[in-house]
Amino acid sequence: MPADHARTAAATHGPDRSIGGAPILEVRDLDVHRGEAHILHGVSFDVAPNRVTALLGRNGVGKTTTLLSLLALLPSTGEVVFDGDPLSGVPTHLRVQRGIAYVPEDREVFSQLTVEENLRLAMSWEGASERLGLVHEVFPELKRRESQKAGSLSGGQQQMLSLGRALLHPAKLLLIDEPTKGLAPIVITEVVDALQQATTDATVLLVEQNLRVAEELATDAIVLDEGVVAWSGTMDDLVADDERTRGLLGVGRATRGGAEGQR
Amino acid sequence: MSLQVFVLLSVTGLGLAGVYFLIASGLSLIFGLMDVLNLAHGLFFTVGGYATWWVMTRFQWIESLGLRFLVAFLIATVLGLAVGWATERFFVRRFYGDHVTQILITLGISLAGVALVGGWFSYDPQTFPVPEFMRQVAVIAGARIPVSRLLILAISVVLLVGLLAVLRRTRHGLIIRAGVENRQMVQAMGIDVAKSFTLVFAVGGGLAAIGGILGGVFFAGVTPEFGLNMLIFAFIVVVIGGLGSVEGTALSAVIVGLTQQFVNFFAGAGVGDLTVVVLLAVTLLLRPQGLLGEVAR
Ligand SMILES: Nc1ncnc2c1ncn2[C@@H]1O[C@H](COP(=O)(O)OP(=O)(O)OP(=O)(O)O)[C@@H](O)[C@H]1O
Ligand SMILES: [Mg+2]
Repeated sequence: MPADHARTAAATHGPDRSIGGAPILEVRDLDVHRGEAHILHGVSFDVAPNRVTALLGRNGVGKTTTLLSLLALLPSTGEVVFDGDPLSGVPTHLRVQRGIAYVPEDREVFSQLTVEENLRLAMSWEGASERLGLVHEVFPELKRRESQKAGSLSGGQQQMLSLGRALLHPAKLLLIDEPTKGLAPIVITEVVDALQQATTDATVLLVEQNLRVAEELATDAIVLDEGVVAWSGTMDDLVADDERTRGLLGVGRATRGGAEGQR
Repeated sequence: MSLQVFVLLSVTGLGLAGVYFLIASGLSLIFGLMDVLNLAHGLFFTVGGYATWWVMTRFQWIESLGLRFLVAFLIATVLGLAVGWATERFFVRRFYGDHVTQILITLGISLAGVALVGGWFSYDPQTFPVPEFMRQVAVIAGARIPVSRLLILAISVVLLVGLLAVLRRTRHGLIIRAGVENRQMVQAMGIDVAKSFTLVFAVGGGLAAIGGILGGVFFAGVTPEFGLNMLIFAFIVVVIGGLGSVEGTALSAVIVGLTQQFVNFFAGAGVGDLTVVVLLAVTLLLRPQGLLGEVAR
């Protein structure tokens, strides 16, 4: 892909660089097939450091696919530059070692391992011991249930474990896929509070269906539609135009549900 | 049934279970972690048996049979580790995810192994002398039990405990247990899971080779098809126990070993083997994930 095209794409779609500084992640022309289906048709966006960027879009549009491709868990073409270095050809575990942490859509805790063992898998990172203290502070439940099998935790507790294990990683970028999926409103509140606490100053690319939650956590937004980035800008700008929000996401201010009402 | 017969059949069945466990445990971990159906696993077993036979019959300069057996044991184990390592490193590694090719490659290794061993040493059964103490009998509850059976049982139990300790207490073990459940997520935590693949193949090869040593003692000799024949029962043990579960493999090995011995004794030779196949069918119908297996993702 020609370089000037990349610049144009960044200028139109990238979030405001003057606030966040040089992007930590630059994605150009990401193209992904899954089986017979062509899911992403050249997705380009930037993620600015030290803030939360929401990756939005209707069900099945390819948000999870995007995160999996960034981690090389799915094959893709296009260019991904992380922290100044191109990632093409870099396998999953080395991408993670370079500073990308991942909280998958369905938690994917190791159900046969205890809570403590799940966390211990992530304890080889530098400074993990201090971080474990913080994780236990944010999620005291994980300390209390240390010797419980992760498979016997409730959905919310599994989500905390999945988040906790990612937070042990001194990551430069956190990829979080639908942390509130399938959780009761009261638990959503709890997870959102914890996320707010844990991600201050962190760089996060957050997939979130719940627009209320996305609004609460994210400053920037990227919206996928029909395999490309359909809109990007600040979260405030996105929700300011109710009609556009409804058009892109199928929900608007009037209809969206959320955690707020449950507090 | 007299108590003596019961004790003799039990100890013999448990000895056989020990041999099954040693070959099946590696097979189970390899399948659980890598989704590789390793048909070459029988070769690791044969390598152990033949290395033992070779040392016991050729190393006559070591006069003490006990010492010679110890040397045979060490050489056979190291060879098993090496062959397991090399199988992963040079063959299986290139074909992860490609099940048909894996089956063809490992089956090829397995058959080539039989031909190689047979061509080199002859297809006739080979026997080897065992240390004096193994040929003695111990009297337990009135039953006369060959000491070799007790030794096989003891070595198997020690290795089971050791394997479980490694899996439960070391970082490698933690990674392997996590990887059996969800390999991708292990990678997504920044861990190079491929290193564990090689390790599991090597350890599986070593354990199967020890199974071959003990199998050679148990069956009083070795043949080139020795490992291939054991592999069939090892697969049955793995499937009944649950893929990827070492505890399940141990439990299943005991059930299969005892069933075979008792049924063969009371219903006639051969019926025991058939009963084991029926056990397999019943397990697959009632609990397809195996006794202690999890539904893997
Ligand atoms: N293994 C697969 N093979 C073929 N198609 C797949 C596969 N997995 C997902 N897809 C398809 O890829 C598309 C994108 O899926 P993806 O999971 O990325 O969507 P998403 O935006 O994360 O959706 P959701 O909001 O529901 O989580 C969907 O249409 C889905 O049906
Ligand atoms: Mg998704």
